[in-house]
Order: sequence, then C-alpha cells, then structure tokens
Amino acid sequence: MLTDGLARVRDRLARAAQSPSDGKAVLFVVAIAVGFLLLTTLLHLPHGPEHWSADFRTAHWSKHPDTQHKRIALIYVTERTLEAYPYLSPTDRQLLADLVKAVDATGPAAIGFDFIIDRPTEPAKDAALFAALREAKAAVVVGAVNEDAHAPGGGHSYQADYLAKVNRSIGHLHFEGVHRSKVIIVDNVIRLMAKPNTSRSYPAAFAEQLAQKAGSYPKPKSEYISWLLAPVDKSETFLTLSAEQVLGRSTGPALPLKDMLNDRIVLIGGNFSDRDQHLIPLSVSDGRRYPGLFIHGQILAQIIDDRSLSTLSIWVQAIIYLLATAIGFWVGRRQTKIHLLTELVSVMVLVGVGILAFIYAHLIFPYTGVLLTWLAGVSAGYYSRPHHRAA
Amino acid sequence: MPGCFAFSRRGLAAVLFGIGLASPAVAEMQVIESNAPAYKVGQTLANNQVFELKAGERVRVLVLPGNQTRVFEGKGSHRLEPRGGARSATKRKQPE
Repeated sequence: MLTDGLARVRDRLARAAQSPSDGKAVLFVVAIAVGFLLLTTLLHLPHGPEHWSADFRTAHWSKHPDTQHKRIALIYVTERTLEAYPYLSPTDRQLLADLVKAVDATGPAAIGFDFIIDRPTEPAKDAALFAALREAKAAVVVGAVNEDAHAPGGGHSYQADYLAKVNRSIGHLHFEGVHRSKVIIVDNVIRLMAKPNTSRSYPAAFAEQLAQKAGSYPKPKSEYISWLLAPVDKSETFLTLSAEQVLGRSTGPALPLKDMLNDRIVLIGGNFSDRDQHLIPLSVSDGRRYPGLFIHGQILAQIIDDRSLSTLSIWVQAIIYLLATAIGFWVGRRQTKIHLLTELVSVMVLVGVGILAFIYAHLIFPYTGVLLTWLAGVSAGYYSRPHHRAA
Repeated sequence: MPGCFAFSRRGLAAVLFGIGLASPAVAEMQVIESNAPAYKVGQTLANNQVFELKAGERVRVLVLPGNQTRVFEGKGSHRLEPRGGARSATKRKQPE
C-alpha cells in the first residue's frame, strides 16, 4: 500500500516537472509553504496580541529621557571584578559583603541585591554576606526565586535559610515571557513584568519592593514594561559602575561615590556573559542581550516615574473585533476579487494604528486579533456574495 | 585722549573678565572602564576629547561634574556632544 502510494506521488511529481502548468502549481505550493513558514516566524501568532513590528515600535518610540535617570544606579559584578578569585560562580560572598557595606556607607535610599543565594560556599564568607545584608543601615531588598526550584519536594532550602537569616524584604526575580510550553512558538524576548501569581513563594516583584522602599507609587496599568530609551544627551540610561570601582580596587583617582550614590536606589547584580542575559524589545536591531539587573532597573524606573502602557479591556477588545468583522464583511461583499493588496493595506494600516496608539495613548493595540477578525470578515463577505452561492 | 585710552583698556579688561566669569568651567571626563589600550582607567580627559576606537573597543567614562556615566564603543571617532547638541556620536567615514 505504502509503496503504491509513494509511486503515485513520484509519478505525479515527474508529470508536473514535464508539464508547464503543473510545474507552476508546484512552484505556487512551495512559495505558499515558504511564505507561511516565514509568516509563522515573524508573527508569533499564538502568544501575543501584537505584530512582530511591535518591538521596532518599542525600540524607536518609547520615551527618550533628556538625561540619565536621577534615582537609580546599577553596580555590576563582572568577570573582570573576579579576575583575582579562584572561581566565578557562585560569586565570592566576601566580595559581595564588602560591596554591600561600601554601598551602604554612601547613604543610598535603598539597596537591591540581585544575587540568588541557593548554595553554601565558604562558611565565614557566607556569614559575612548575611551580616552585611542584615546590618545595612539602608533599606534592603534581596532577590529570590521560587522555592520550588530549590526544594522540589517541599523541603527547606538553603535559600529559605538565607532569607530568614538576613531578615530583609524579599522580591522575586522572575520576568514574564519565557514559556515552557512545547506548543507555543516563542522568541524568549522579555516584554512583560511577572504576572501577579499567588502560587509564587515570594509574591512581590524585586522592583516593586524596591519602589516601596523609596516612596509610594501606583502600580503600572498593565504588565507591559514601559522601556526607557537612551537619553537625549547620550549618557547611559542609568548611572552604571563596576563593583571594583565601588570597592576602590580600580586604578586611578577615587570616585566621588557619596555624591554619586547618596539617596539613590542602588541595584547590585551580576553582568556575566554566560548567565542572566536576556533579549528585550530594544535588542530588535542588534540582537544585544541585557543583564537581568538592567531589566529590573527599567521596571523600577517605570514604577517610580509613574509610566505605564495600557491594554484594552476584554469588552472593548470584543467590540473592536465585532466592528472589524462587520466592516470587513461589508468590504468583502463589494469586492470582485480578494486582492493581496487589500491584505497588505490592512496590515500596514493596523501597524500604523498600533504605532499611533503607542505614541499618543501609551496603549497596546490588539493587532493580531483585529487583523484576524478583519480578514475573516472580508473572506466571509466575499464568499457569501450571490454569484458564489449560485456557483 | 590718554584718559580715554586708559578707560577703554580698563573697559576691555572688564569685558574679558566678564566673559571669563560667564564661561562655564571646563568639564572633564574620567575613564572608569576601558578595554582600549589608548585610554587607561583613571585617566582624566577634557570634555572635547575625541575617542578613536577600533572595533570591539569600549570606554566608559564618568562625566564631571554631573557624575553621569557614558559609554563610547565601536570603530570610529566618538566624543561628547557639543554644548546644546544632541546628535549621535560621529563615526569617521571609512574610505570605500
């Protein structure tokens, strides 16, 4: 049976190669298949309400501040910081203890500690870090990940012990955007903050906890991260220093650390080439990956600047989808042919509407839903015309 | 006439002194990170410094007195913006 079937297919392909019209049909099918594959690569239909161009829009039309953010500073531990140490991971706990103390001495508004402490290292160094975090004068938020990751059987983890010993506010370090499903095609770009999740061991997010330490701020209107682009004066988005500079282990004159860090929210974390590096919408042009600490800084900046991106409520979206279907149906009824041009213009108009909604209303336009309902309406209108019914 | 000449010299001095007062202090930059051999960490440079960098080279500076950090990276000539300017770092045109 199978061999007969394969033989039939082979014969048909051979005939198609000899017949010009059948050859064109095969080419057409191949072109459609390639086009469909490209479309699935670009659209990411299953998991997002937006067109792939949304990242270009975010990277070009988000807010350009005039200058560097005045409330936030980032301090990175890097491979260079650890050149003199025998191991890179886990990061030397004595170094981290010294760093926390050095930052605390500058009088920051709060310290955010973005290191996952999930395994013991050298006992004296571990104890030094715990003491530094516990005894810091500044408000401290320590980052943590879900307990499930470290104590799958529900047991007591080293992380839980550490958090109990330092006795500081805890913020989870998760972002949204990494889907584990095998069905959904994803690009692993971080676009969203973590959704509120009561099943998480630590419900409040790291940036959210830090913002609360520095004042009282409303919650963002949606989970979309409202990114800050590079400032107009071309400085870095956030004051950025390396750990060795803060610890005075760098060559050259000492930095005016007190002037630089006093009353700022100082985030301490790692910038290592092999971990915690993420794609974000700003990576769209060059594929550059950003450290998790930078993303936490962006979310924190959004909260304390009271910036938000809005999404439409489900009811408003439903009304827009109905309208798109109805207008599409009306257009379809009047078309003599379904033109590719109609579809291209539809896509361009909807991308344009999405950009305008983003710029002027800070709104995420549900591109994918509107396009699908619009095209469904056009098709339904076209094929319900009397001559089609007669045929 | 000599008195008039003396007055104009004093006037000129006053004008020059006034201009001196009105001019901003020359800002500086301190190199705080660098993988470019030409720019060492700790080096202090005038704010009109032009950084000549090769591909893959990166220099982070602390711009004084505002204490802002800024990064120059990649092949070409880079410098702080002129006062009031907001253009991107200029890249030297490479011969075809």
